[in-house]
Amino acid sequence: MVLQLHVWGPAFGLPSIDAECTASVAYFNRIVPQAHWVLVADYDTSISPQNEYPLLIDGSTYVTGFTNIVSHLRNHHSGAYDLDYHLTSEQQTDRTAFVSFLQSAATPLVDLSLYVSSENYSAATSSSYTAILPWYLNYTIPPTRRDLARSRTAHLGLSSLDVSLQRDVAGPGSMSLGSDFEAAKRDAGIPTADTGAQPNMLSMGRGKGLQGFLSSPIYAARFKLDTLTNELLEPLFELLGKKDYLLEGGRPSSLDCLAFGYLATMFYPTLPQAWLKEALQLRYPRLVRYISRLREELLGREDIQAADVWTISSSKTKNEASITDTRNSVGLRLPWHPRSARPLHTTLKRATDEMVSNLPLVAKLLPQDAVIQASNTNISTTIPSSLPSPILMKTLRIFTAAIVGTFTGIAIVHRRNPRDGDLIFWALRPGGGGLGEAGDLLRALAYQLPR
Amino acid sequence: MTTEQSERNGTQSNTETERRPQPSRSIFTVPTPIKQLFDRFPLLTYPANELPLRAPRHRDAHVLYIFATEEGARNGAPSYNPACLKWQTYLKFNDIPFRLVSSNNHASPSGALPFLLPSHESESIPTELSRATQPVPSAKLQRWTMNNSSSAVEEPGDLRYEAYLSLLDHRIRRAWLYTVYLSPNTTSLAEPLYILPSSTNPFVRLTLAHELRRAAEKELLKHSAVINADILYKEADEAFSALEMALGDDEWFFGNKKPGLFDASVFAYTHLLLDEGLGKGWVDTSLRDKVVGRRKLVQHRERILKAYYADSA
Repeated sequence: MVLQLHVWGPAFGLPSIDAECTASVAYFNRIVPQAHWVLVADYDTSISPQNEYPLLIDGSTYVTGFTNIVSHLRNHHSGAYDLDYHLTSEQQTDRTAFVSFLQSAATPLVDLSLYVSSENYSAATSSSYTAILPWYLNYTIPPTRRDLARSRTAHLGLSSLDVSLQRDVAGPGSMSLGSDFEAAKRDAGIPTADTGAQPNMLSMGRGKGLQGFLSSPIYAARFKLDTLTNELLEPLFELLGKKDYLLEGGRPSSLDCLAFGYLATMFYPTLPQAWLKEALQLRYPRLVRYISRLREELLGREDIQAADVWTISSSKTKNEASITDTRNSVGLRLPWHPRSARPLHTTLKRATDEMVSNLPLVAKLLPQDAVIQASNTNISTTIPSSLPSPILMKTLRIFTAAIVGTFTGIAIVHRRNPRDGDLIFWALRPGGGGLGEAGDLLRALAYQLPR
Repeated sequence: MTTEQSERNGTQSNTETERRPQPSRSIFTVPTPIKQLFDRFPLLTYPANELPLRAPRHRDAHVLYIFATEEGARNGAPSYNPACLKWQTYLKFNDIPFRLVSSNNHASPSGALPFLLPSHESESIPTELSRATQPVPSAKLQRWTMNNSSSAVEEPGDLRYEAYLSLLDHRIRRAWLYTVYLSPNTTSLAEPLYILPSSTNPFVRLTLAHELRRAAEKELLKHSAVINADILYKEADEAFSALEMALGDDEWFFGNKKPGLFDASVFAYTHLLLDEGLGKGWVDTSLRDKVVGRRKLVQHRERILKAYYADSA
């Protein structure tokens, strides 16, 4: 049976824009013979039971997430696709721990570098998504993933990265002649007098001294980022030691695949704010060598172009030979396959769903309950809640709504049919003379007098 | 001026000098008739008012603010919140005497329990006078313990320390969040422990319950688009088995001679999961079953319970 691996499309020369997807591709490419699996660059997460990629479709089983895929492969197919069979049980335990460590420590770093940092996001990430998504999903998927990354890293207090540091480089003519001149000088690479454009040494701290300089947002963030980076890379560096792979045994394990997925997503993208890449290059050159060696071993030395993959994955052909031909002609070595064609109406439905759920006001009105999948097998008894029951609350709510509705109705009816008589006469009286407010007052007094 | 006048003046001034001292002694002096009136009644002296309930009374002891029942706080019983229990246990490991105060998140300067209010005695250096009474949030408790305990041990520089800690802080914590706040255990654990003691107003309770649930969902949704109980439990199971392997036949984790922060962190979860009488008891025992079967973790928990919580049982 052919295993189907669905991932987010390629970016930065890697098989996928997502770290766990890259890790899964590396794992498959290493252990599963190429005839036994196909790789699909996909974007419709609704086929995945957990709305996520990587997704492995093995017959009727759908498995999501790197760790679940790896444990599925270990427990099925009689262990033929288990990269970790050579590990001792102690190493297996260490692998579990370090996999969890990688996921918890590396995810925020990737989030910060690719999504939260607004400069990086606008310069690299969003354009990479454009290459792997159909046009209508570009308005929804990247912002959603960015929001998720923001919420994951909110506790780190690094939202200052989010502020756009770019000064508006306005087009010529929109500003004064002087600024035109400055812009021309800047384009020509001549240092300009515009000191605010770059935080250079002259504007250092704006006269606040060294401390002010260091506590300006960009440097304060830099210190925090360095700490975070070290928290991940230091243990990895020590674990790697002088070995070729993270665990003993002289061959890559699933831990190496995952580490590669994350480290490659940190290292290979070309970003304007390249603090992660710099940290790796300057302080952990051995890890850099490890990444490039793994890339060669796990994926082969190829720079995957998103456009090539897009042609394959959106082609309609079912013919195996022609797919292979296309693949060879553009030089792709991974078993990329076309997406299974989805009928037009599901695409349309998905597009509308995405748009509607992202509309500012409408989204609030739609029910947005978190999807919880649970199979309650171990329940012995149920204990009744001592809170007011939902039915009671609903009754109360309906009751209140009814009262409010009635009053509004009465008010409207009253306004439409005001009572006749003096009041109308009073309202239609022509405005008073030159006495202004005093005139009104006097008139009101006069009205009190018996006529 | 005539002599008559001067005489009168003299007598006047004389009588004035005689009378003056009496009113000037105090304006509060009670006029005689009123005094006589009041002398007929017995004078009742009320005892001094008590300090407000919240006023710190034992300033000579460190105070740890945790989630606990009033009775539990008096007896020094283990907290029912893993984060609180972890630090409670850690302080006990390091022989730091402290009192417990039952509290909630709104009381904490950092917005989360536990936090510790150091005693006034610890302000040995005058420059630290102002800082000594500053509360210590949980993030800084380890450093504070190192500085204040004579027997504190450095955490081992073991390579695997961080990795195994991530198992606890992520996988097991997530499963815990699910099992307490989202699974059917909500009515038997989250409700009696966190919601009911906070308020008696049914509407406030309902809002609290809703907020707690939302917060737990939000936290879990950060890591996956869908909350799948089976996957959460499976990951926790792997984590527990990895922890059991890591403990092996040692008494404490990473072969230490004394229990450290890691042991406290493990105990915080294993104890609560193994505690049958937590809240109103476990309804959904999926997560609990993952620990019950692991003999070494159970023994580890009992070791700590016996050595450090024997008096509160």
